[in-house]
Amino acid sequence: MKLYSDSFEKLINELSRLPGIGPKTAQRLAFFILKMQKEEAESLAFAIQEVKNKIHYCKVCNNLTESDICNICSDQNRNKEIICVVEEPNDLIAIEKTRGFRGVYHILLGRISPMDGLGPEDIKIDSLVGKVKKGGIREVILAINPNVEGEATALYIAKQLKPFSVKITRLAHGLPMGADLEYADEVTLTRAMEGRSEMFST
Amino acid sequence: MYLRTDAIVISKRNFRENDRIITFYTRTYGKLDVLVKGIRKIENRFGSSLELFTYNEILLWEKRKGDLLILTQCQTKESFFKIRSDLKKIASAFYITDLARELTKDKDKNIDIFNLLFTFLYLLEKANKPEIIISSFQLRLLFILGFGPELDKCVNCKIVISKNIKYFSLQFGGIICNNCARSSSSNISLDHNTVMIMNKLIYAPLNSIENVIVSFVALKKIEHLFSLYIFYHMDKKMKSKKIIEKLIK
Repeated sequence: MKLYSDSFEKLINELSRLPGIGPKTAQRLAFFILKMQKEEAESLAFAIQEVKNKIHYCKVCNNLTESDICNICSDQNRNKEIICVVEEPNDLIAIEKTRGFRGVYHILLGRISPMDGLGPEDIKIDSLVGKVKKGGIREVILAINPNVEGEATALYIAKQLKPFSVKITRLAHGLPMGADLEYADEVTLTRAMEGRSEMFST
Repeated sequence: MYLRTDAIVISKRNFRENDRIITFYTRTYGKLDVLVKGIRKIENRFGSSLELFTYNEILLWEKRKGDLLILTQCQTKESFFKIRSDLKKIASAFYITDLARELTKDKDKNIDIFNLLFTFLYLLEKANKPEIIISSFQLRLLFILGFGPELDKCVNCKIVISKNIKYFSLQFGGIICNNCARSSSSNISLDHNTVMIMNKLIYAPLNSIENVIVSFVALKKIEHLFSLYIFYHMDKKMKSKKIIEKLIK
């Protein structure tokens, strides 16, 4: 027995492809869309279409942008000599929120993860090496997630950049603000101890 | 019901918004998929204890038999974190854990595999030649799984072949004499020296595996043979292999 009309079933199927949306939620969302004002529903459809048509990756840093080059890369006040390397555009947003970094970015769009079949060619490492090779870069900050895949990615990038005279740094590993020492795990504590800093540096 | 066991993290994948499914190789229950709630939040209580290759004591909750297990407690016993500071070692550990994940069955208890995995991660942490360690692991794992190749006599007619080894039969799973080679459809050329090295990689004491003298060419030959062998008998192609080779290069 057919429960829904073809178009309604199609909408449910499409919605259930979204992350975290199961068939039940998809059905609820589909009913919600059906009850929406026509203009609202069209506006939603239009927004989805527009985002797919307009947004693409920045030619310089792979950030999401509507023009060829993103706002950060085209900003003259940014220090182009310092590149911060992150895995995904979300990571860039997290760093931008700190307002403490005035350099530019390079987004890898992934990380090396052999178990998921992702190798060095599957992420944007070559273009980073190209940028450094061209010259004019003083420091490359590797702001890659501190897990095993992130370590592998950082070590691989560092190996590729070693022949060029550029300073390569990594974000510090340690205790998050508001954490409790008692509950910190051994690796985090060891890293925090290694990366300790002097309180009254002269 | 609560289950308590020692376990090594061999794989992980994201699940829902903040959760992750971790694959452990456990001492008591074999390979297990376990749901870890809230692990992707920065204030999660597990910290780095559920990173790949970590050896933990874990407490699991199973609501009903057959339900997905949920991790409730975790205490790190060994993090092998020196592996993480060397690209070659990370790549080798990826391969070792990937083999353990791909070639074993879920919930199939095998304490020898657990011990092998633990020992080889330990050896890898201290290794100078990780490529020899992974080759030895691969051979030993195949033996534990019951897929160990015959390397002493002809796998078909059991005649002892001394120095006149020419072929390895994928079909029969071992070295094969010239006579029997005619009836085997999948022969790979192999010399006496390579077979000797393979025997050493299998039987060398754990603390002297790295002392086995093996040339780069011979190691490549052994690796190639076992990629074919694993595919022939277990229908598995190690997709991580090529990537790992690039990282090690």
